[in-house]
Amino acid sequence: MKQFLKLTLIALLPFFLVNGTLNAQEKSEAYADYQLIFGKNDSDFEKSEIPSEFMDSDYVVIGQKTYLNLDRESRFSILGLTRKRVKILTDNGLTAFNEIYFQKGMDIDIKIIKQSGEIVQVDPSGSIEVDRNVPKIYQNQFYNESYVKIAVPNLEKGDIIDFIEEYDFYNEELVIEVFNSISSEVPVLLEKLVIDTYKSPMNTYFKSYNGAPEFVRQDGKGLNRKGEQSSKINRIVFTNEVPIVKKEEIWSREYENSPFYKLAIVPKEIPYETNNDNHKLYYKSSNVTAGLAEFAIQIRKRYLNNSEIKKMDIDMQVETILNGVRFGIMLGIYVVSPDIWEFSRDYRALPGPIFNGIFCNLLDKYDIPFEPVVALNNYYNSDDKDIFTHQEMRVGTYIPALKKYYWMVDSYSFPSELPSSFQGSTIYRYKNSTLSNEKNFISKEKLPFLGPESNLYQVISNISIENNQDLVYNQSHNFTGYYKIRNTSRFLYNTDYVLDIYENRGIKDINVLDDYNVASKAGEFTGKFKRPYEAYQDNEVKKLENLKKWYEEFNITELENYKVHDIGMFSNKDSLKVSANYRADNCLKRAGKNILIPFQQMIGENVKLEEKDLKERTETAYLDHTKNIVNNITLAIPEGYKLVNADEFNVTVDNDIASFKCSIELLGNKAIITSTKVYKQAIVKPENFSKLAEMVTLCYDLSKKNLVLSEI
Amino acid sequence: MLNFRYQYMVVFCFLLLSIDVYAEVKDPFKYNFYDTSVSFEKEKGKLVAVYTIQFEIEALDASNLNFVKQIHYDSRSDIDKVTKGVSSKKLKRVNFITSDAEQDGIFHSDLRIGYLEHKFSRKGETIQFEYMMVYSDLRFLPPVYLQQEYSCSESVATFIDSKYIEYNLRPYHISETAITRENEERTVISFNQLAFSNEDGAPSIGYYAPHVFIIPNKLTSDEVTADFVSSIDDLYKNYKLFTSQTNKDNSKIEEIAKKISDSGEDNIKSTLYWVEDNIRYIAFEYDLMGFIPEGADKVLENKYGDCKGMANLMKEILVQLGYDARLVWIGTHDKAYDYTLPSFYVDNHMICAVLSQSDTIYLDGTESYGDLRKYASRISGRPVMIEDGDSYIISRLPENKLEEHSRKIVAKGEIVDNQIVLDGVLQSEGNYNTQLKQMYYNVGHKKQEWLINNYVRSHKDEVVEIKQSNIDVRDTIGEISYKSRISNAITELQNQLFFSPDINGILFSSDLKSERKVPYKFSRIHNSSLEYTIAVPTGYNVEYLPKSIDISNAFFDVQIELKNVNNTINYTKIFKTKSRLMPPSLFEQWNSAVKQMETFFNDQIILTKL
Repeated sequence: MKQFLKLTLIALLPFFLVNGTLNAQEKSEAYADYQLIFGKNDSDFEKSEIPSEFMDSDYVVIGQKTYLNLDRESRFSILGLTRKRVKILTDNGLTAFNEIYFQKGMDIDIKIIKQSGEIVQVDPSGSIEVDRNVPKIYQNQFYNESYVKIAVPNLEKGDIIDFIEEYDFYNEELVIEVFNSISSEVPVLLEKLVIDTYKSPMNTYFKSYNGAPEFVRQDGKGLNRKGEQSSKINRIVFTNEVPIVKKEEIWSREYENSPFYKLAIVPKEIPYETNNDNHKLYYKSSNVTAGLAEFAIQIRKRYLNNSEIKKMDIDMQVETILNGVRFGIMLGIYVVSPDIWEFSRDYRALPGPIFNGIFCNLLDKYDIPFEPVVALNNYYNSDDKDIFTHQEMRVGTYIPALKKYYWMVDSYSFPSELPSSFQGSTIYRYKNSTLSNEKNFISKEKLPFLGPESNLYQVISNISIENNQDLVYNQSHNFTGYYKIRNTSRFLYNTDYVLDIYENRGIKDINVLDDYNVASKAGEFTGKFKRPYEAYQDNEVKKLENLKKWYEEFNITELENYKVHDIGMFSNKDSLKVSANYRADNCLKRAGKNILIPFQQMIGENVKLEEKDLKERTETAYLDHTKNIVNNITLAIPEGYKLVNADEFNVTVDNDIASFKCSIELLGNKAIITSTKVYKQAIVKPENFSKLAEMVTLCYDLSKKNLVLSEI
Repeated sequence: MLNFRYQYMVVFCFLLLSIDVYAEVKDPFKYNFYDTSVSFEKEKGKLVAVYTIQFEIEALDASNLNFVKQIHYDSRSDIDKVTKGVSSKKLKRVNFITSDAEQDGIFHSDLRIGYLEHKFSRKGETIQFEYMMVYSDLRFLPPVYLQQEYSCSESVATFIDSKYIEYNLRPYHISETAITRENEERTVISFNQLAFSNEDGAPSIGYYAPHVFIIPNKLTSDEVTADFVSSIDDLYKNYKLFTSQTNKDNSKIEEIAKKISDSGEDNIKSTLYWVEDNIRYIAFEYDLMGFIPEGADKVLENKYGDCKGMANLMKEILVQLGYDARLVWIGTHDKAYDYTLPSFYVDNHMICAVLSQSDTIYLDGTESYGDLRKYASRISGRPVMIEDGDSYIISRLPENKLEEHSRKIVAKGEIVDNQIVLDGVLQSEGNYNTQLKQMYYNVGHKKQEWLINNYVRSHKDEVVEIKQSNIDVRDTIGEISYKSRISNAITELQNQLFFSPDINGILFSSDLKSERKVPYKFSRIHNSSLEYTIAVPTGYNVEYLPKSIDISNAFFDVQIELKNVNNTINYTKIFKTKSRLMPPSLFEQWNSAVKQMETFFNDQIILTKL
């Protein structure tokens, strides 16, 4: 089953285990506790017949059921029980269950039900720890310890393995968040989630999407840990009895196309005294609107301090601040809190909210009004009653004076560029003037989907032929939008640009001006700066290797040089511009007096759709974003040769989903090749997939053709 | 260790090599020195071996400053006195983090891994470590390596003479000039070495890394006791001692033996296939259980076993059926040694042998879907030790014959609408067939069709239809008949057609570096061939065929040929390797073959309209 782990612990708070013992026994605690909750004969696991349509599977999950009990009023304690019953149908199924994995600290009960009806208890002692990923069937989304495994004796085809895991742990500040797709690679005949929780301290939020069954709320029907029903305890139940086997269609996304649910369980009030705003935020989580509002308040409260900086020209200020945050972080200035910056070698990872919070903090120091913004992702049909999970939320900042949004998602794109993953998102903006009025301070907007022109990858190539068998390239690349973000780290392996930014774009000023910044101590800053800079230098070798690999689609044999002309980070309109000279030896074919040039050497690789991709498309295709790929190629034709099949490459397909146009014009001894491939829509419904396929297939077929140069 | 866990190599195509053509990324660390000193000490009346290891490591890469070194030990060894510091005078005791270990999926009860760790603050810094490995059972002394995972300016191994024991050194890949005696009390071996090879196709380190085995000879003092292995006789005695501890309760064997006997098939073959099909391979090493086979009844009851358990089960079944079946110790090709080395390090696997006056048949129960007498590549040609009561027999498994292990495609083709359409049959025999079956059964039921398609289409053609397949039939030559097409194969120009019958047909993709010192290891010997006939379309004539290639040397044969026979193009491509290890001396010929093939496949067949 594809399950997306979404168990969130509050940052920096420990996760304690108790009673982490593993017992070998005939009657396990897990089995006894399971019976206490669900009785001696749980009707959910009575079936053993496999529907005929699933008999070609290696194994079938007859049932999988997870039970959570959060029955403590004073602290957030969880008892978990997960039971899975699996029927093995093939040798490969046997191999999958030769060894059973579970986690340290779990009590485990494993039974094998033979075809004769005999039940064999498996002794789980003698387990050994494993230090690698375990198969999905054994993964548990509510518990996170290292895995052990045991060998299962006397397993045969037709056997049913029935195992129960019990895990008991508590954490004082735990919030549970779950994303769970109910489609899976193997059939799951019954999937069930049952959660019992005290009414008073806990809020439980849940929502089903894409046709998943709805949760059932049973107020006052929950059990305590002794198995006794209590009117103080609520129960929610999710049941799915329609197996959904995952499809494997190109450009499909599970959480757009398949049924899933989201679940959040949070205490209504923080069960301890704290002044930590982070904690308050988490415990405020409820429906989307209130959750986002709380988040906005927290950003505001956290970062509106220390307004000591005099006003400067706002454009310059914002740019300076932006660069300070973006490139200071790239240089290894790590932010412990908004007021404390530290150096770290791990400069790659910085959570978006902190990244954004630093920006807000600095804006505030310069007295630049701003408004925190939160955005929900556009992956599925969310609405105001959505479940608010922290993993999905992205944050930004709106500066009213400039009427611009800033999305601090990475260091490479200019922050007022709308990242493709934000396009189509619903955003909520906290307005400064209405702090006290929770109902009115949120404004809601929908971000647009940008057209293909915003994601451009243009290649300008001058290509010549040497020795009648080698190609020599002089290429310029121009990246915007998505392509810029994706490729900047690849091309900017050199540290010079970072130094340039440091010297000329105001990072020094930021650090000197910021009284609260440990980096403001100039000597310390300089000393600490050297280390990450050295790390950058040593990374150069590795990054250069990666860069060379990027050209592999052109069968590169030697990268002679390349240069970054514009790092594309300082305005929306900037593009990343690089040029490269390289050669691809021995890539041309000979046919008598003709030279054959694989057209892929001109326009690069293209996606190949397999037969199955072209038949019976059932799921919507998600392409991440619209895009525009342009090739402007000048091919120098060797003296004594002429291009004789140019007409074959003059092709066009154009529909409302995608287009491709290629043309070749002969100018003297040069062939001017122009190709433009446009993905006009980021989301393509199944009924329109053939239009996309038409374009993709044409591109692929053309790339497999050969240009023919014939001796004159 | 007596476990060997094979890995299924998903090799769909002829593409054997893909070697990075770019410069190597430098190591993040280097050893400035790495000293190992071996001595023998008395401990509570027992003799123990103490390996004292001291090294200095230097950070070379500011982007990778966390040094971690794993140290393996078990119930017969211990790690002690772990210290570190900036120089030998300032070493301080450090906490040594250890954990239980799974290694290659094997169940170990006693394998532990310790971690020597240091976080450098900048490159150029150095740190020294020192620790002691104490081996309480001299039968299991590991070799001392003079080559490490990073390059080392000076690696020295010192073997101190002992008043308690006389021992010999057995050096591998070490010249005599590197070995010196000092003051008649110690032997010193000194090296400057590059790191272990991380090059593609590098064999196991025993094949190239300098290392030394310590072979105890005799005790020279009454003050101590010790068990050790000083000869092959000793090795066998220990093996017998271990196997004598196997549970002999074989009450369930009779039933299985009868079932096999009643099948009417060859009993030896049926026994092998029954075990392959019904006993799942799971590797165990529980202390000395790494050497003691699980009892046959227990394996039957569990329906799983490791190589020893499977070998013992087969032996017991066959003995029940009246055969002279024996246990056999063997080192797979990962082991660079033979029975001139008296050490447990010679072997890592156990199989069964059936002896008769005329023949010896070996049975490896871990090779699922393996055919009788078609030995897995990893054991073919390897020396074996066969139990023989109080004595033993040293012998060798037969080398695999190329003609018994092959992958062959024969196809008839025609040119239709700019495509080459093929009607073909793929035949796989021996190891190829076993491997295909293993992949077929392990990939999962729903992906079996996908697997066959990909196995067949290794020549970049698209499979349109699998017409027939006997892949699920045991003990036959595998045969898959299919239809496929090579799209976009033809370039048409006025009155001519240009094409290659085998797009991307090159056998190996890039050069082996001339400076490489380490042999190239193939997973097995290769014998693959492709035979296409392509009918020349009506109204066309064959104007040109690329020149054939015929390369044959001590290691490999490459034959690629195009012929026009009655207006039908016959295309043949044959690739054979004659052993698993290609020595560096043949790299130049290999690289030359790459160039010739590039030229061949860049040259096109030309058909001209009449």
